[in-house]
Amino acid sequence: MSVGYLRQREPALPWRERTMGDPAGLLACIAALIVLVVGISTRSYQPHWPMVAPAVLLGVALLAGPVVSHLADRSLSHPARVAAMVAALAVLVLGLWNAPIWASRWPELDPAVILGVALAGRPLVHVLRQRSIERSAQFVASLAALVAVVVSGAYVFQPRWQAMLVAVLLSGGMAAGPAIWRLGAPWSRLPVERACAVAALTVLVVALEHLGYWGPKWPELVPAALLGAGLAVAPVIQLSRKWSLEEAVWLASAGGALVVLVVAIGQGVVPSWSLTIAAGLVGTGLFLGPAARHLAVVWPGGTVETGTAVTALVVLLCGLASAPYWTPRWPELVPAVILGAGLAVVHLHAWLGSGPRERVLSARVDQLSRTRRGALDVQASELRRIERDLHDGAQVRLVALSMKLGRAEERYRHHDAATAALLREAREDATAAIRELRELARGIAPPVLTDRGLLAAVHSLAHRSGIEVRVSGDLERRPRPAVETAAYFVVAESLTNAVKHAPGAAVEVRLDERGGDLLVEITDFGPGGADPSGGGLTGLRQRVEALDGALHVTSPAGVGTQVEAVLPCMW
Amino acid sequence: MHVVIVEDQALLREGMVALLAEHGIEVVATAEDGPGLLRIVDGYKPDLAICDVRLPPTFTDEGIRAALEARARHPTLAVLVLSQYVEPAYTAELLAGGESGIGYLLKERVSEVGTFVEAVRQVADGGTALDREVVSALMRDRTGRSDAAIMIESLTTRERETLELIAQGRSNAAIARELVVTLGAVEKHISSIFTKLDLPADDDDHRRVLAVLAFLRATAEGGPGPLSG
Repeated sequence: MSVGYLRQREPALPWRERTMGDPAGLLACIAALIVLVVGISTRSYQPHWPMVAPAVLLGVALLAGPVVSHLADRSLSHPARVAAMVAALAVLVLGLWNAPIWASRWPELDPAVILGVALAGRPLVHVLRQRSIERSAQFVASLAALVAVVVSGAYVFQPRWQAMLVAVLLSGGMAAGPAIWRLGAPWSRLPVERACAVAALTVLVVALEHLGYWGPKWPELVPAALLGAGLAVAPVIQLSRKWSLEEAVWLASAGGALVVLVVAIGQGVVPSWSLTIAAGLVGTGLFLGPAARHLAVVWPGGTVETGTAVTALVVLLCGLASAPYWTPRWPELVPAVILGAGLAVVHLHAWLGSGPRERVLSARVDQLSRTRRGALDVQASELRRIERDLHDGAQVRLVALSMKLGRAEERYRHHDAATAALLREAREDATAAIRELRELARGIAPPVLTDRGLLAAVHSLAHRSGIEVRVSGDLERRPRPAVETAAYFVVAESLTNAVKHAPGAAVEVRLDERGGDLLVEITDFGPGGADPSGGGLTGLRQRVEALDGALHVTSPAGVGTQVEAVLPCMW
Repeated sequence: MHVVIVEDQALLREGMVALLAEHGIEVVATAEDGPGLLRIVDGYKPDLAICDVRLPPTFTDEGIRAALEARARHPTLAVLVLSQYVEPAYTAELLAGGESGIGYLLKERVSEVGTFVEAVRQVADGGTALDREVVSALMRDRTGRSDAAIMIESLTTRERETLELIAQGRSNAAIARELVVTLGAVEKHISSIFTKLDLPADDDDHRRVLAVLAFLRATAEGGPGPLSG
């Protein structure tokens, strides 16, 4: 039994369940509100309260992000999206309004602002340009980073430029990560990843060189460095080891945290150790979260989650114990605390909630997932075997029969016209049977798919479709048969739909590896307005979801239709 | 004419040997797999190899690979591929392997004995014979994107039909029968096709191949290029 069998992605939930069932989202929103109210009403913090703004912006954007991106596919004018955008804009305006306070310290806000702008701005760009959310995020982040670099250059804020780089690294890693994976094919993936890795390493080296400047304050950079390093190094690790993105991020950030801890202890930065802990809390919460859930399935019993929850609690207690040191400076910890607390509660909740019943259920889910996968694999191989048997058995006999009938027809043609005509009819019947059998076999398992793989089969579909189809893709490996067949039928059905509903429109088909997933994307520039709950699309969705994949249909009227299937492969 | 046959199914192999013998075409050797084809081609130096696509050991596309390899070793060898499926990718690969003496037919066409034998002779003589299913798949309406496509679009319906049949390897007489017109009318269509496709006056057989290639290039646009391996 392969470990891979046990790694299952979280099932796609309706957004309502995702948000309502996610205590982190709830807690972070409450925390953000409390911080906002306290920050505004506490007189002694009045000059400091704008520091709260980045925290809130960050928190709202981060937590609303998944919800927003999810909703973006459904309705473009959903209240939640609008609310998130309005909140982000309000905070931005407040931040600008309080600019004088920040005049001397503004670079410290860069990481939060760039990140916040990128995350909050992408729905806006998505609306404006009707493009994919990842592309929008990358666009906004690049723009924000560019603006930040230009502005800081203008202020000749030389001693602080490292902070800027860290911020850029941070936002670049976060926003560019998914975008890089997505855009990998057209931009030829490897160079982009390598450039990203080289940039990240350069920044890290530069930051280390300037330790002298940051001397007593360097721990303040820790959260950003940790985040950025984790996110920027992840693609490299994944590239070299073909690991999942989650595993790679987890490894990179764990390594980063360890280095930071050792350096902090070695430098004897005693009063600042709490900051390191706060950073650790953020890092742990953010990174161990997905990884823990991921690994918890591999090591049943929730030991990883338990450990994470305990660690988070210890860190929280340590932070409280060192409260006197932080008293005059506590707002600086707010972003870390909001984020960390929200995420730590997720683990705590999972830990407390995982009683014997849950463990039994979890084991059962594992078993069912494994057997379902096995059943689908067997089914796919069986279908291919049936196709081969038809080819080698019935089809051969029919061809031999029609050949003999043809020869007999030749012999009778000149002296017995009636018999020749009868033989001709018999031959034509045999040929019709061969044709029907061929279509049947093709519908079961297209031979070109078995012989040449997905890309060739999709090219063949494109050829057969009778419309202009541009196929792009870069698959280095072949997915297992069940996944390959599902991907094939997604393309086949989508092309049939495009021929039917968008005649004359250009169609693009893209096949790509993204992490451990196979990405299949069919875009037509036709009239749009497709009903995602229509018969054909529902059939496809069932096929894809049976493989733990997800099918998204975006079809704004007047723009076109995009069908996107993400199929986990584990290769 | 020296012909070799590569087919793993004895039933079909023996049937084809008998059928060709009845029409005075001698099959000098047969083989059951790709390496067998290369051996007999090296040994017998045949004019034409008739080749199945799916062959042992993997029963995928050994036939195509072996045929391309045989063509690479013996550029004058004509190849007629028989398959139970027609795949545009294979057509593209075969045509990339040489400009003439290429055929690609569905297996059941063998039962149309007269047409099949005609296609065999056509391919052995350096012509092209493509199954009407390949041709019609390629012929489907595509918007023109190149000079070749525009030239093809300038053809009348009758001329297109004629060109389709030429691509299938039919003789003028066979085309006249199929379209129920006189031989003179077919010749007129063909000379008009040559003019519209701007094909230089040369011997007719060569121009026929060039017309088919122009037609394939125009209609195969946007599809797959030749796949490697």
